[in-house]
Amino acid sequence: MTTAMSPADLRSNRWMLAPFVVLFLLVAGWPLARSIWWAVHDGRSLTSPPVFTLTRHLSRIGSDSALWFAVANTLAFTVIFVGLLLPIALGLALLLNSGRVIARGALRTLFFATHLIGPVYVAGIVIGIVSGNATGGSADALNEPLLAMPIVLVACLWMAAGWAMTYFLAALQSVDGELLDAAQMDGAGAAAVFRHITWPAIRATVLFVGFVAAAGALQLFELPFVLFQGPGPGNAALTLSMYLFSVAFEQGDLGYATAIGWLLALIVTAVSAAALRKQAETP
Amino acid sequence: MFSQSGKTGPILLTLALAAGMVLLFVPGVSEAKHQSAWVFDPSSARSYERLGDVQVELLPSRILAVRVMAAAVARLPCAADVVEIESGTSRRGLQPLSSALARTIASQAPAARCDLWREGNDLVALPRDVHPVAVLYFKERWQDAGIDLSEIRSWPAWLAACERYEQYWSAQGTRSAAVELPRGNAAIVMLLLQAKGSHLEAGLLQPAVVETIAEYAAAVRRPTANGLKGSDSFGVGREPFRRVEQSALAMLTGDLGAMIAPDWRVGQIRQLIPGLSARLGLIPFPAEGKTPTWGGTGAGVPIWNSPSPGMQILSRLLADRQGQKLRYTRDGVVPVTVAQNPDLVESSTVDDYFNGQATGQLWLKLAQNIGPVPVSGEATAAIQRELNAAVRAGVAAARTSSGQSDDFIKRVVREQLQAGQRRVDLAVAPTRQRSDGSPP
Repeated sequence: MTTAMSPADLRSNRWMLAPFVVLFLLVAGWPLARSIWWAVHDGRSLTSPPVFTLTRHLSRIGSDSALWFAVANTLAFTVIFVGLLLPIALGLALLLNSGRVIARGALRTLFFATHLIGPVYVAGIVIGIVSGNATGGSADALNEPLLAMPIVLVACLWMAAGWAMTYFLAALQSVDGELLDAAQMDGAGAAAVFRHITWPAIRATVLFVGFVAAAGALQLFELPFVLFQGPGPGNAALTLSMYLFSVAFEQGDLGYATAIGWLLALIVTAVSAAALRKQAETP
Repeated sequence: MFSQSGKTGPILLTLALAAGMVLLFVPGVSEAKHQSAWVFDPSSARSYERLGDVQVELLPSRILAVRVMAAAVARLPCAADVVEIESGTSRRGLQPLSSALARTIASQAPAARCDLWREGNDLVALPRDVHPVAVLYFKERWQDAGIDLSEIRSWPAWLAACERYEQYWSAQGTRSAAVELPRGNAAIVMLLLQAKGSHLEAGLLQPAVVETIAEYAAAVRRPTANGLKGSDSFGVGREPFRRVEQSALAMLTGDLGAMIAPDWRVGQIRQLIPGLSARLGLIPFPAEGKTPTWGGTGAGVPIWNSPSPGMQILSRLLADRQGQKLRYTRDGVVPVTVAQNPDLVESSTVDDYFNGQATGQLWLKLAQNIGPVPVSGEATAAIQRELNAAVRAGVAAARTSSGQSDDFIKRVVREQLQAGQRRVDLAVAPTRQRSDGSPP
């Protein structure tokens, strides 16, 4: 049994939140505030006091062709990645959920394994396959600008499909079995059952997985970085995070890099807001 | 559950206090007596190890750069007294060298290599190498084709020789590529440096830049030979050079006649492929009086560190003539002080690996003619995409023009660069004052 606290009690017990508030301000609040400060200051000189330079950063963001190429590359990758990931993962989940497959547990583990080993190892395996050490392929495939993003895309799908499939499997297993049985008894075909019963039941999960995958894709860094040791042939695999890294650590312009970081945060926030709105609309 | 026993709390508290006391009184790692250096190149690591009391940590170049910048931004001393970074990496994590040390370096190293490591008027790193670039070729194959490479003196003559070489081998029923060019900016920057000595920072539309890219596009348009993939892939690449074993194997099997190689790459071939002994030749780049360089390493002291241990290491490194000599003999890296100290490469005047050719003299001559490096780290990032796009457009134009119309290729390259120049903010490319006082 729970007893509601009176407003007076709540007010007097607010101090109990203090440890959390202090910790939050230290661990999250201070770095956030500091990054905003950096984003509007010129961080190129480490020895002289930073100069307020919001307009310079804004005008540079506006005219920086490499930045906008990275933004376009990242957004295109995100759209294609999420667009392919969802049907592939859902297909795998439906297959494993159908009961027609043997060794389902082993397959589930196998599909999920790439997510467990992480992007660096996945990139290593992909280099082995593409460079021909494992398959007799062509080492120069990694030097082709037109192949750079497709290679990254396939590697990312390989890594993420098992992860997304796990969510979909859980969602599929929570679909009301009685409804499915009733529909089948009423003569509904597989497509009709999926469209009218399964899909409405798992739609929220699909949206959630799509949103998380999009947020991850927008921050793509490790895989292309390990695959190409940089932005790839002709910068073809340049992503926003890689460009941020390059500006901060190769060009040494921490202020501008932080401004790019905030641009990335804004894009992720916009995508999140759109996903949340869509989720709220889901019945 | 713990509180029920009533004893657990005091026991844990006592243990925590005891652990704290131990931590307080145990000597920290920072009290280690050794001086330390972070490097990314194994051959360079050996030169620090020769000093005897310097602990060397070999790290991937990018990780090293991140560590240095992270310490610099956090305003903390770096764990290493000396760090080595690649040209193109930000030098902002390094402090100016003491004026005495900077004077010594300036008196021994070529001005162009010192300029590479200047921040304003300060020298922030000891340049560790000159990295002249030459053409390495497989003698028999060119002799069989009736071509004497030692007579080549210009780029057009070189390109014509390459055409003749490939036509000859094609007529013999063998596909053999005349030359392997490094990919991407490596090749373009080398060509710009060597053939034109131009500065990209002054603008992409300089005639020298346009002509060089057009020449480059014409050079790589030829069909590719076995194992040498895609001529236009030379324009852009994951790595500027293929693995040295792959290139050397292509030479041995006849797939490749020559390659453009900096000193360290020639050194690697010598070390790794003894089977090519006495079958190779080395010639300068085919243009009079100039030579390109490729890359460069600088050794500096992190910005918030106490300067004296690092400066001391750098002084000793610069004074270690035997170490520089060994690095050249073993790894092929031409010492940065070679122009002032020619004896550092003299011992290799007659080179058995090159069938008695005086490669030491060749490297010495190249090192004495090193020109300025045109592209700063910041500018590289801004310009790279546009140069690569111009190369791709040029290669495509070269293919459609069947090699007849140089003007057509040039026009396409110029249009591409014109579009690129609008996108590139050349203002972000710092114009460094050169040591001779001339504007870059």
